[in-house]
This record gives sequence, structure tokens and C-alpha cells, in this order.
Amino acid sequence: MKILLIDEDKASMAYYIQELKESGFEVDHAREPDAAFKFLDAGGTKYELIILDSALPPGQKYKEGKTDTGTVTGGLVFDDVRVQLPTVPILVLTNFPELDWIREARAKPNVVVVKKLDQMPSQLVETVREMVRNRKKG
Amino acid sequence: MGTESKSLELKTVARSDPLGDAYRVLKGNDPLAQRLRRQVWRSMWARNSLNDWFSKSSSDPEFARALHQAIPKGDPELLEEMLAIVSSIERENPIASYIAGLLNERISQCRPSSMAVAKQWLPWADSPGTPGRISAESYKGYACASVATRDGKPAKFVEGIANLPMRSLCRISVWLQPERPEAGLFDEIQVVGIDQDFVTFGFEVDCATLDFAYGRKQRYFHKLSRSEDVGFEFRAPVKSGVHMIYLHIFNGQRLVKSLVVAVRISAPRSWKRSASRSA
Repeated sequence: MKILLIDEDKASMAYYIQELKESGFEVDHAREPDAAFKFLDAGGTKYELIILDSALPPGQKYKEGKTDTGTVTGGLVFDDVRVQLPTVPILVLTNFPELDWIREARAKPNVVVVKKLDQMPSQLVETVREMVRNRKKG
Repeated sequence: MGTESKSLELKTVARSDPLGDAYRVLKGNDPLAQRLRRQVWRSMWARNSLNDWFSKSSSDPEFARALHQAIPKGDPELLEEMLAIVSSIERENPIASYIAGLLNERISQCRPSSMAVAKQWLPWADSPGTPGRISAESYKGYACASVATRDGKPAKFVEGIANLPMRSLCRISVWLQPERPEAGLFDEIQVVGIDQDFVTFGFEVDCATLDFAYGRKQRYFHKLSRSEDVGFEFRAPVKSGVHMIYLHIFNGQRLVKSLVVAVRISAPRSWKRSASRSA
């Protein structure tokens, strides 16, 4: 089962990646939007789930866009991933759960928002499993 | 590009990170191990998040403006741990001071008691002769700021950034008032301490890229009135660009609030018109 993790933070992600791998998931890690869409363009349908952070650098893709304070870039990536993969679950893993785009995303199907502080890597694995199960049921 | 070599990265973390080692060792379903593991995770989160925020705020100064959303509320132990990390990083760094201000504010909201005030980041607390001294004064109001050229012409704000012409002499002003302003740059401020009618606040400016005359200025005022303005002057540079100015507000020796003001320096309109005519 393959997951795409989009998050710039190297240190914390190492623990999430390790726990996911030990639980049998394959993980591709992109630290900015250009790398993420490179993975998606190379075979987006193979991903069972996307894990997305809110605060990302704009990369080339969103260089000209309005990505004030860097916290909006995640929302732009979210919208574009949704166009490319309309039903793949998206887990928003963030320190900024009150952002406007995250409040809106929370109401959409196949989207779960969790705070990094509240989600230890072992808990993230459970959340991922549940989201994948729910999608299969639906 | 941003793709990672995961195996290499994990090995590096495992060798050099005692917190990470502890986190990995504390496995299993034993409730005590699980509780300890959560505590270790919280410490790792505090350290990693602060490092991430420092790095992002340095490369994208406006990122600091969003940080108030990321700092947890109602969790004094974690906030104090974060404060200890920030104060050990670099006190001279304006971003560190700004984050310390946010943390102090959150801590005082969690524990409105004199004991909590004493535990916050107090540079003088370690000085001999001041054991347990608490000098905070109760205050509730708004910290406000404005930007103008020296002739008093207010700067125009576009998307929250004050626009100023190159080479102009400028002034950034800060004051406190009890009523919420209808517009402009402001933030709520609440200090828990000794209740008295007159209060004293100190004001400092800090900016990594613009030249200011540093030093703390004080204002003594009735807490139900508007304080006098505190002004800091600077000359807009000859190069266009965005600069972040931090206004630090102190009560006693404690940093109680930081306002972030973004200013964009650009060529005056007259220059642009003449440039287009000559082209």
C-alpha cells in the first residue's frame, strides 16, 4: 500500500516514515510541491492516501501565486491533488488547524485533519488505516 | 529537489538524537511506557517545530505572523518547555524574542497566578538580590502600531504590508490603549500581576535589515487612558524589498507582547513616472 507524504519538515517526518514503513506501507516523501507533483504525474493512481502539511514552500509551481506566510501553499496543493485524484483520501497533518482552507477542507469527503502534536507516529498509522478502510467501504 | 533518501536520513537521526532513541525504545502496550512515550513525543514536537519555525521565519519573514495559530493553548508544561528551548537558542534573535513573547502570553493565559508569572522568562530572575521578585502590573488593552513618513503622512497598507518610498525618513509608532481600535495594526494584550492604577511599559524595536537607534523607551500612564506614542525612526533604504520590524513590549523586565510590522520599500511614484517617460 503506497502513501505520498508532502511535508517540508525533515526531522519529524523521519519518525512518521519509519512507523509507516514498519507497518507495511510504502512511502514517497516530497518536501515541496514540485517534487509532490512529480511523484503524482509519474503514477498518482498508485497512491492509496496522501498526507499533506499546510506550511510548504511555493516551489516553482506556485511561485507566482498568493502563498502568503507559506501556510496557504498547502491549500493550493490540496486543490490540485483533488483535481488529479478526486477520491483518494487526504490526511492533513498540520500545526495550523485553524487556517481558512483547512476549515473548508475538513468538511469535504475523504479528508481528515489532525494536529501534529496530537498525532504520534503510531497514532498516525491507525488514522491512515482507518481512512483507507473507510474509503474501501464507501 | 525535495525527495528524500529515507534510509540515510533515519540512520542519522537514530545516531544523534537521544529523544528519538527514547521514543523508539518506549514501545509496547504498558500504560507507563505509553505515557512516557507521549511525553517524549511532545518534547520532540516542541524541538522540531521550533526549529522548523525558525528556519521558515528566517527564509519567509511573514511566516512568523501565522505562528500564533500554531502555538498550543492551555498546555502550560509544554509552553514552558518551548520557552526554555527558545531562550536557549538565541535571545538576540528577533524571531526568538517574538516567539518568546507569544509563549509568555499563552502561559499567562493558562496560569493567572503570581506563581506562574514568576516562572516565566525573566532575565533578572537569576540576578542576586532579587529572589522571587514579581513586578508585573495588571493590564488589559491593546498594543497598537502605525507607520508614517517623518512628515506625518501615513503609510498605505496593501495586504497587511505598509508601503514606504525609498530613502524617506520614516517613523514607526507604538502605543497602548484600553479600547479595541476600529482599524490599523493592533493586538490584544493582557498582563496578570499587581493591580494598580498607573502602569509602566517598556518598548523596543528590533529589525534584522533596517537601522534603528536601539534601546528601551518607557511610558508611565493610567491604565484606563491611552499611553503616549513611542516613536522609532529609520531611513528607508535605497533598495526595494520587504522588511519585518518587531516591536517588543515589556512590563517590568518581562516581554509581554511583540507586534510584527511588515514594510515594503519601493521607488516613489514620481520616480516610476519619470522612468517610464524616459523609456
